[in-house]
Amino acid sequence: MTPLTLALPKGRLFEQVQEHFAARGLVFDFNDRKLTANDSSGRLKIILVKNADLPTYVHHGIAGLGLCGDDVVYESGYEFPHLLSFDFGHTSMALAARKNHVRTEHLSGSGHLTIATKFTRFTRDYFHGQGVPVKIIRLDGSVELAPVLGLAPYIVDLVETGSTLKANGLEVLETLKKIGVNLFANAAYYKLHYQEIGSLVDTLRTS
Amino acid sequence: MNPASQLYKLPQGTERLMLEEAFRRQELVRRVQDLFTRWGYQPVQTPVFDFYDLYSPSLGRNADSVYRLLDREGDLLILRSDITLFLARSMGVALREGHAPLRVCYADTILRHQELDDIAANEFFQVGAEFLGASGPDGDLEMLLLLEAVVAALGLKARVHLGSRAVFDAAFPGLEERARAKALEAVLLRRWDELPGHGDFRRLFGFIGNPDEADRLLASLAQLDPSVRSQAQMTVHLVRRLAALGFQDRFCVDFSEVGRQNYYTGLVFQVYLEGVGDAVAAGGRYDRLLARFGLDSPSVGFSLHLGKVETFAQLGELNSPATALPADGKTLEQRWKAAQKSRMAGRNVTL
Repeated sequence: MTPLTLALPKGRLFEQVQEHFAARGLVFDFNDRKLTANDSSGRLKIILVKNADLPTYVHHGIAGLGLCGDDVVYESGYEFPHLLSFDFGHTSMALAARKNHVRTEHLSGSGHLTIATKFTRFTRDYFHGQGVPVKIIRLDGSVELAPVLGLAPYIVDLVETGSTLKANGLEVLETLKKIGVNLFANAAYYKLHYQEIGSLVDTLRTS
Repeated sequence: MNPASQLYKLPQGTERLMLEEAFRRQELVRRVQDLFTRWGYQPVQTPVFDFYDLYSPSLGRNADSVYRLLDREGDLLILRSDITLFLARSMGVALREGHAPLRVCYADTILRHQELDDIAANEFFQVGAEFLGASGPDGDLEMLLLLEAVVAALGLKARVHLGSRAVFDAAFPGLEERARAKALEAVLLRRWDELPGHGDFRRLFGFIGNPDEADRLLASLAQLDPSVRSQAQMTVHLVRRLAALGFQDRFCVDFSEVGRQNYYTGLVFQVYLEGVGDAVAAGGRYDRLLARFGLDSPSVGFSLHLGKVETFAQLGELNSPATALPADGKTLEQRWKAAQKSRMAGRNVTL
């Protein structure tokens, strides 16, 4: 049996994914800095990739299946058939600013919000959907610094506990979207392997 | 002289084929065209550009990816992004109501915008066939058999998934345009929580399998409206007819195939090939498309993206011009005489 190929993201989700899979008989580990591994049952060939690159691998069919947060897929602009939502790794996309920030956009006449974020596509689409013009400054990390140092009064970022915001004197103004973790497939790959994928989804769904 | 940065920069969405690659492409096209000829399909060539307004209502999800330009009179033009659409427009003008069924084929380039990182699309060159004036399931079956012949001629181990836009239309009548687009997306992306209607629809549109499995599924769906059931049964029957002809492994029922283009009205299908991250061919029935261009004529057709299958096609040994040997002789005249003899014997020779 040829194993199904699955791309997993490095970073915050990896250990939770590894644990969830292992509890259902799909045990894997990445030794010696390798970036590919097979699970103990032989059903999966797993490749470990950077979060933001994961949708690209699935879109091109290099990995048939992918697992990551909604935010990553949304930013990629690709759309994939949905297979399963997981009950771990939940977080929120939030608009934040310095504590006691006073909104002055309506006074400046520009009317737009200046927002620093890594999630430029989401931020643009969300605020345009609300009828709010936005000026976006793209940052790749340490977004919390932007309001503190005066780069932008607002940030849009993932918030789990809010402790990083708090430590930098920021607070959540509004939760924009709940972010879940999903298993998804390259559309053509799904069509060619729907039976094996269906069986894998059943395994992963068991509690 | 251009600076090197200009010379080596390639515009996204363009394709260059040279030497052996170009010869292989030419050979692929020739084999498919030979097949079309033997099936009685006549060639047509569509213009590279046309007036944008004629096509804009039919573009659907592709509206964002077409190239538009202004001509010298200020009219907005569209570059050929979908040969079926351009062909419908040409045929709509050329044919009269009640025309005899007409079988046509094409092999041509299309132009669409491609995202910077989307190197996988390869949708630059299409070969395809359309059966104009073909009503009913026999027209559908002919098109599927022709598609099977093309796939076999290229030695591709592909599988065709058959669905129906008519099943979707019967399931969701009267949805306003945005809700309809959302429901279509819910099926294509298997987001069952976003699909309107009852739970039976999720099971129906999530189904992929053989005709017997499809029959069992339909028998178990008690809430299905008779019109949805009857359209679904027509799809199953078509796959059963193909199986009876010996193609049970090549075709399957897949109700999640509802068609990416918004002009489909009945049968829709996509062809999948191991190792390719997208469908390599797609087609279906579009009974009302030609009416948008002045001719009410039911039709069915398909197109194959040659760029996606080139590396998988089994063409056997090719008599490539790169294998040509130099002719013997001291003068060009002597070499020409020797070469003529060798060429008569089927060898490739240079002077």
